[in-house]
Amino acid sequence: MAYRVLIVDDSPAMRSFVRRVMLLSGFELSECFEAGDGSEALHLLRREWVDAILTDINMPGVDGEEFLRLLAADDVLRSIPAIVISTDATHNRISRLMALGARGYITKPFVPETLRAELEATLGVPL
Amino acid sequence: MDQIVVGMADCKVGDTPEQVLTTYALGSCIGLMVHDPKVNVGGMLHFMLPDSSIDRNRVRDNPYMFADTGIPRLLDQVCGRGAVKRRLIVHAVGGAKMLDTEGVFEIGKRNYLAMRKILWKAGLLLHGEAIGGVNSRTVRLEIGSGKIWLHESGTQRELTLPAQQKGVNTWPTVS
Amino acid sequence: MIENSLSHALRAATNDVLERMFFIECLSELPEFVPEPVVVARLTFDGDPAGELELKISASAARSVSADFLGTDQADISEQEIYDVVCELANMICGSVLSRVESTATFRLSTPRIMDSTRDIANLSEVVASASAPFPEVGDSVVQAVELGSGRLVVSMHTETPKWPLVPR
Repeated sequence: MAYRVLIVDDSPAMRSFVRRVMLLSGFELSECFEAGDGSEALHLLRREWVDAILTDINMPGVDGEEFLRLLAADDVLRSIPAIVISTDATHNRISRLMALGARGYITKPFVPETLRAELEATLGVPL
Repeated sequence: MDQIVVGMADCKVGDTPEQVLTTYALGSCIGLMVHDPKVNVGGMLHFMLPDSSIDRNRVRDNPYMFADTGIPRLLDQVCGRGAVKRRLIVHAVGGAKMLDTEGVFEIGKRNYLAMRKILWKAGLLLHGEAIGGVNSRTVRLEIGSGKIWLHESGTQRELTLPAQQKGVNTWPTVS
Repeated sequence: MIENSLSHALRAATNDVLERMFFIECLSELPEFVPEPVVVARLTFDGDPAGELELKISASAARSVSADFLGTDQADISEQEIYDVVCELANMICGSVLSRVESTATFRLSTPRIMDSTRDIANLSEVVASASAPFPEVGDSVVQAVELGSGRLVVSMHTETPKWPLVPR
C-alpha cells in the first residue's frame, strides 16, 4: 500500500531526514508533501488528502500547537493521524498536544527506529 | 543442523535452511546479522574495531576486523547470494563496556556508533539489538527461519520474538 | 567558566544530539589546534530564562556531518544543504538543553541563522573567551567544545538571569 504523507517543519534538513526514515522503514510513499509551517500545511490540506501528518512544534508563523488546534477543530481534518516531532520534551507541552489529539510524540534527538515504531503504531506495519 | 562458526574478525553467509551461523565471545566486539526472509539468505559479521584508517596494513589481511571495511563486504556477500538489501532484517549484538586488549574502555560504544553510521548511510535500520552492558555474549542466526538466539549470563532468549517488533512504541529492544 | 547546571545540560544535550541523530561520538580530548574555516549558526530563545546559542563547526566537519545526516555523498551535497543541517543541529542542541532545565516556561526558539562563514577559528582559548564576549555580562554563559573526528564543534550558550532557580532533570 502506498501512503500520502505531509511533513511539517521549518527545517528542510529535518524534512529530508524524516522522509528518508519513512522510506527506509519500508513505507511506500505515493506522495510526500512538505510544508514550512502550520499555515502552509493547512493551505495544502484544503487541496490534498493525506494518510498521516508529521509535524514539528517550534515553527515561525502558525506553530505546531496552533496547527493541531486548527486540525482538531475541523470535522474532516481531525481524522488524519498526526505525529509530533519536537525538541520540547517538557511535560506541559506533551500533555497539551496529546489532549489536542496527537497520536504520537517523538522527542528530538531520536534514533530512526523510534520514528519507525511510531509510524507502525499509527499506520500499521508495512507489508 | 549445519553449524557454521564465525570467528573473531570474520564473516560468513548462509543460504540453505539447515545452516546456523554462530559467533562467540562478543565483548566489546559486535556481531552484526542480516537476513532476507523472502529467500532465506543471511549473514553474520563479527567485527572488533570501528575504523580501518588506524591500520591500513591490517585491512588487506582482514577487512572483517573493522566496521567500515567489514559491513560493506557483508552486504555485498549476502546480496551476491540472492538477498535484497531493502528486505534485510538487521540485528546487532555486543558492544559491551569492557577493558579489552587495546586497553580502551569505550571501544564497544565506538563500534556501535560506527556501525550505526555505516548502516544509516547504506539505508538500513536495526530491527533489534542487544548492545552495551558488561557481559560477553554468544549469538546464533538460523538461516531457515531468521531466528536469532542470544546467550548471555547463562541464559538464552530469542532476540527476534515477533511480539517485540510489532506495535511497540519503544526503542531500543535491549536485553 | 564555572561548572553549573546549564553547563551540565549543554554537555548532555550536545552528546545526546550527536549520538542519536548523527551517530557521532564526542571526543573530549582536543588534538593540536589548526586554523580552519568554520560555519557558524546562531539562534535566540525567549522564555524564562531567555538567551542565545551560537554553534561553530569546522567547515570540513560541517560537510561530512551534513552529508551523513541526509544520506548523501559529500561530493553531492550543496552549501545550502550544509547550512540547513548545521542550523538544525543548533536548533536541536538548544531545544534539548532547554528541555533539561526545569522551568515553568514554554520556550520559543527563533529560526537559526548562518553567520559569517569564512572566519577562521583562532586557538581554542580565544574561542572560549570570544564566545562569551558578544553576550552581556549578566546571566549565565557556558561553552562546550568537542572533537568530532572530522573536525571540531564549539557550542556557546548564554542565558539572562532566570527568575527561578535552574535545576537540571
